[in-house]
Amino acid sequence: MERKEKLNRALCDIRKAHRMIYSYQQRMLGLMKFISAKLDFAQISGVKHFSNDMYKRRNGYIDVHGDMWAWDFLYSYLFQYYLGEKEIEGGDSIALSVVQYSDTGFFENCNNDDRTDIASFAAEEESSSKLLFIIERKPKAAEWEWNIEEIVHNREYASKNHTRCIVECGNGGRQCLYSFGIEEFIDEKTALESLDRLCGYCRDTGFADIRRV
Amino acid sequence: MLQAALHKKIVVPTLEDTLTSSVVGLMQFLPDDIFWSLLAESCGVSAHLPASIGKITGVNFWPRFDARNTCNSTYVEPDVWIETDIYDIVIEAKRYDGGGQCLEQWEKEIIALNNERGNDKEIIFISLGGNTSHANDSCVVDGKEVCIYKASWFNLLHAVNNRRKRLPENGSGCLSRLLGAIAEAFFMHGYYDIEWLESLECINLPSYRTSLFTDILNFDNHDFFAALYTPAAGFSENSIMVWNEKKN
Repeated sequence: MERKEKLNRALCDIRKAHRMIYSYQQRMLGLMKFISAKLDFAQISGVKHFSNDMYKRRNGYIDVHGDMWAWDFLYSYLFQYYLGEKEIEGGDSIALSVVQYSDTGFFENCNNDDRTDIASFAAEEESSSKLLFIIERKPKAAEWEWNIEEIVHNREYASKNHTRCIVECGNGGRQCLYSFGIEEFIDEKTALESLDRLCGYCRDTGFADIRRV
Repeated sequence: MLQAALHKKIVVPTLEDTLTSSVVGLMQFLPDDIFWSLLAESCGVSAHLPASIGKITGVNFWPRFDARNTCNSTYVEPDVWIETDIYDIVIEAKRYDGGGQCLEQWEKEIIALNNERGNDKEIIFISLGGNTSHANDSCVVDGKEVCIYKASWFNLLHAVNNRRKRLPENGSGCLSRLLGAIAEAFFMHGYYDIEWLESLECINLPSYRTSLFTDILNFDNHDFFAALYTPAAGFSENSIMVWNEKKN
């Protein structure tokens, strides 16, 4: 009975956790729409990272197989919102993605490569929840570098300690990588201030003249 | 045109008239009762508006009313005039919530409305946006008091989104699309009904440890029984293992 009682208490925590993640993700969706509008991008689509997508078979059922990870069920854990691309001054183009790291714990421990060994992740209190803005600027005739998978899983960029940097690309373009703690988007005022800091950094470094609408 | 603007195919300035045109312009295609209930919900909580306005017979944008007895020389132009079989509803809109409405303009529009119409239907005057307070106001025209109901664009957006949430899942796609388009029109003009992260409540879960579930759910019965018994003899084809109770 003691085991059952212990499990029931844990399952109550599971219910609380699911509902909390729902409330959290609902707010993140609203925030992404806000960011997209304020930076004047027209679309939002997404890519799941950290583990595989779940996909439907031809018979309409989602494929569930023995070697899939539980992470495959958890889209909000590490998700990239692609906000699209647009032309800027001089004929160059920029593309923007915002990556939601709900938990940087895996990336804080350099000694662990096993994403399913959550016991080896940094403690929750030692990890963070962050957004990584990835903006690539490419010259008119060049192809996109857009090495997103590599960037998203790079421990330096994914870590809570990353702030911001400009990276030179092989296509003659550049990438701006700017990290924010999610708490820096707590309300409309702070969200606008954060976006202003991002735009200011892009202008001050000569990366691109991006303005908030 | 709204879709073209939303998808950045064209650049549309976001002004008072584009806001009125896109939001109220789409709302006019809603069923009469929903159109009215959204407008009513956008007013202050103490508005006490009628539950029904009857059948809408006309929705007119920027109608030009006879300016007699006003300080205007040619015409007076409120933003929207909604005719129903019971009421005349006038909406005077301002671009932003927060300030800009004025008593003199309301009075002028009511005088001009009276010049225009040949009836004495009750007037519902809605001051939409530009209000510093949502408490009802009033003005006296031709000896008759007219109540001024104060509404905000944000309240209207909130009402639209609440209505969308209440739609049955398999219900009218048309209504859902129309309400969605109205919300997009608001978004284009910088009105967002977003739940921000600041309202996320903490639930104080204890730190998770894998042993929590493995302790409860993993059960190796070989280890369990080995703790209670020791085998008296090994198995062979001709003998049967006898378990003896472990002596402490």
